[in-house]
Amino acid sequence: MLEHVAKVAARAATVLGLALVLAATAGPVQQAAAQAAANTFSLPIIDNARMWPIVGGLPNILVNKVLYSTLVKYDAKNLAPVGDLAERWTLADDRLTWTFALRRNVTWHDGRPFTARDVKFTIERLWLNPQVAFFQRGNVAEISRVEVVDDYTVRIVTRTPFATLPVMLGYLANILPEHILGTYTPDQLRNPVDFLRNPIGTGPFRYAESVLGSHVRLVAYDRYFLGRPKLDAIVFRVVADLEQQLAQLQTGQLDLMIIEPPQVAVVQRMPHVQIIDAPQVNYTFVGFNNKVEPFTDRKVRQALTHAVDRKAILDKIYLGKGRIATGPINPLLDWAYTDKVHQFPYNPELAHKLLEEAGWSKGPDGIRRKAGQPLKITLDVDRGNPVREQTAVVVRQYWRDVGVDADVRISEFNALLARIRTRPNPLQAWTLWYITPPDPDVMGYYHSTGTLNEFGYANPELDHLLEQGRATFDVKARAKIYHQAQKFMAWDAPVIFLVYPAEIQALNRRVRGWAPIGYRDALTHMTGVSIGR
Amino acid sequence: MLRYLIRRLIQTAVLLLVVSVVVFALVLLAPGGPSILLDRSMGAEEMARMRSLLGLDQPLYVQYTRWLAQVLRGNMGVSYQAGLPVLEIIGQMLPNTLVLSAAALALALAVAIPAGVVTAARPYTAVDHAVTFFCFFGVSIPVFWYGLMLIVLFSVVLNWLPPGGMYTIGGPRTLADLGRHLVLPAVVLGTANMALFTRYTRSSVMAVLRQDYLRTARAKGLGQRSVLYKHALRNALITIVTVVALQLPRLVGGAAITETVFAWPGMGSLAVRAAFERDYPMIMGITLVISTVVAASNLLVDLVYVYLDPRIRYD
Repeated sequence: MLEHVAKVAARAATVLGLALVLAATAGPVQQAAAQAAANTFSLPIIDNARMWPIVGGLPNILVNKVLYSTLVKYDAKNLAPVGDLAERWTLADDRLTWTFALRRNVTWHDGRPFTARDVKFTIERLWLNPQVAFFQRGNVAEISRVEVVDDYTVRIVTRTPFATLPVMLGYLANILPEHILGTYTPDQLRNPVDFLRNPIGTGPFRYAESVLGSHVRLVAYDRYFLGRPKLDAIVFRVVADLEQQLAQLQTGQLDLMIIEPPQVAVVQRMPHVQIIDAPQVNYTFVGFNNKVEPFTDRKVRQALTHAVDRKAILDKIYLGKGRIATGPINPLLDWAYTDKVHQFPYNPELAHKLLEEAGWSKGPDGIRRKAGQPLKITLDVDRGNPVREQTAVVVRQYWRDVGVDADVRISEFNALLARIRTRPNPLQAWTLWYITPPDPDVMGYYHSTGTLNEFGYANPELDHLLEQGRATFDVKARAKIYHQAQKFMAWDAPVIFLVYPAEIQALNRRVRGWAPIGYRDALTHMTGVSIGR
Repeated sequence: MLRYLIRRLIQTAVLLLVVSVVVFALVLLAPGGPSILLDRSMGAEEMARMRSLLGLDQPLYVQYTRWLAQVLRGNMGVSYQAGLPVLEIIGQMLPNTLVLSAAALALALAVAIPAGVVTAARPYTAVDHAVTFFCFFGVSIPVFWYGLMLIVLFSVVLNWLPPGGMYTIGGPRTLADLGRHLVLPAVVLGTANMALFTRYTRSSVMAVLRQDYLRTARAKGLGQRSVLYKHALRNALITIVTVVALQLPRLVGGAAITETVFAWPGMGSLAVRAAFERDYPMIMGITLVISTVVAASNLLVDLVYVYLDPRIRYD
């Protein structure tokens, strides 16, 4: 028996050795990969995608961008809302009733026509249905009802005047097919297993296959309403590991990946890859819990902001890829953005002075105290993102320099976010980011009733401005209101607005026609993208 | 024997129940929560609503009983992340992991057994020292670094092998294509075991070589080859089988790091993502499948002993 084992083992070794030799001599892998990938655009996702746009998560969001359509999407140049499934829209004099004229040549990937009934179904039975829990419900909660006027006209009525509606209808608001999902029970709508095995959308690419843990492949939809895309397919490869992503970018299996500043040098050495600093509607911040001491005091918040050299952070940690943030409204929204606000240059002396004024004076150990209590701040950050981790460490040092007993606590992302979302929020300060819809309406984040207001910030003056902004339709008047809001917020410093970071895209040079904006939005402009030589 | 088997099966069932309770409690009590509840752009209201729709606002024991009732009906629930039934996902990932693990195990054994026997026959020679050196290298080298170095060398620099994945996407799923993708992860995964198995084979063959019956075998004129492979290795094999069997759960559980580094679509990388994303049904499903395999393989080993060593009897 033993001889047998030894023989089998020897044979196995020979076979494996042969396989190695064969594999090695079978010629460059790139050839095989290139053949298979001809006219296919590949990008990574870090986990399996669930092609169900009712729930969040980046893998889902990315795939859904090309599989489904929205009523409205954003222009590739200035991110202004333009028609997608809707051709145009008008607002009635009551400022509540919007009428959307839909495109007439849209078909679902199973060939059935897209109509106003799909819109009504998606909004009423999915987005607003409490039994379904649409993750972006907050954006569209102002909608009170939807009326089908005819097959290609739909009326959307809001509770209050809601100037942001078109923008919100473009933000992760995919329309789903009534003719398939209409018969589903609420239970099935929460877990539409059958639908997910063959999801049907109206986007430029239709579902072809999903191999769990490996990839999702979508192929060009011949009857796409803006014409068949130039690409034959888009492949989303499941690659969780960043180093593996880099290797696949190098060998050509991936055409695009998003990198962090530490990887810039590595990618710059890849001759076939270009780096694009794509602007995004976002900002990074150091958040304060405005409900607890010492952050209830504006002078303390201002001092903590003046103490931080954001220019140095931008230059050294972000490698200059971005610009210093002045508020929650991104300069990409040029009609609403203003930098004519209080700027908070790095000024430790002023920080010292403000802290003294606020009653926090230095003790013999260099730590500031007020009524015997030391000024102790724990700054929370998530593990693994180099930019945020470094930022936290640097901010701690800046704060220590002005007499704050500052500390950094690093925890896993989900644990940190769960704590921030706890009510009341147990944290003092944390550094994270926000990506927002391309609109200056920041009610969700800074209004006292905002459902994303993790800062516990509440100020009646700002509340009023934000309410006004939402109910004002004239662009010039709106811009004026948001200029005021930005001035107010810059001065009141509810958080430290750090940087408007560019998204650093590493893109294979063979890709043509890529829209140089954040890749979430660029994915809605894929019909013109092609693969060159 | 039959009574023994029945007793062991009952023990196994109880064990699995205990494991599931402990893991369920650990997983749900861990800080953080499911990623689908923690989307950066999802408001507090929606989060609370989804939480309650998922039943996560219920007391722990209610959630556990619900889960258990479901499992007893053969349903492990739906993954939060992928939106598909947990069993279906495991069914797709398990074969991938088995392919990788089997290749790695075969590679390890094919190298380790001959190497172990050879070094045992000539202990403290140059060959032995060289093998020992490589064994220490094999067990000490950090897997992720080793994997990355192989990727850099064979994929990026030489461009001989793909850096990751299991098949060329969009291409035909041929055996040759699988082989190309398999080589690097199998070598990485096999190296540590190779080292481990070599050392165990060496020491247990050496122990057997000192036995009287081997002196007898030599005395009656058997050649070195026959002594080593027919008498010594067979008797040494019981240790090796145990060591290999202890690795069986990994065969099924997958190698988290290796699979992640090589983007291999298997149980290990699945488990890692599920843990990060707090995909409770997925984590529980994986745990249950793996612990079942562990229990089953332990039972199997005990039964194989009977075959390998006639002195062992269970009554």
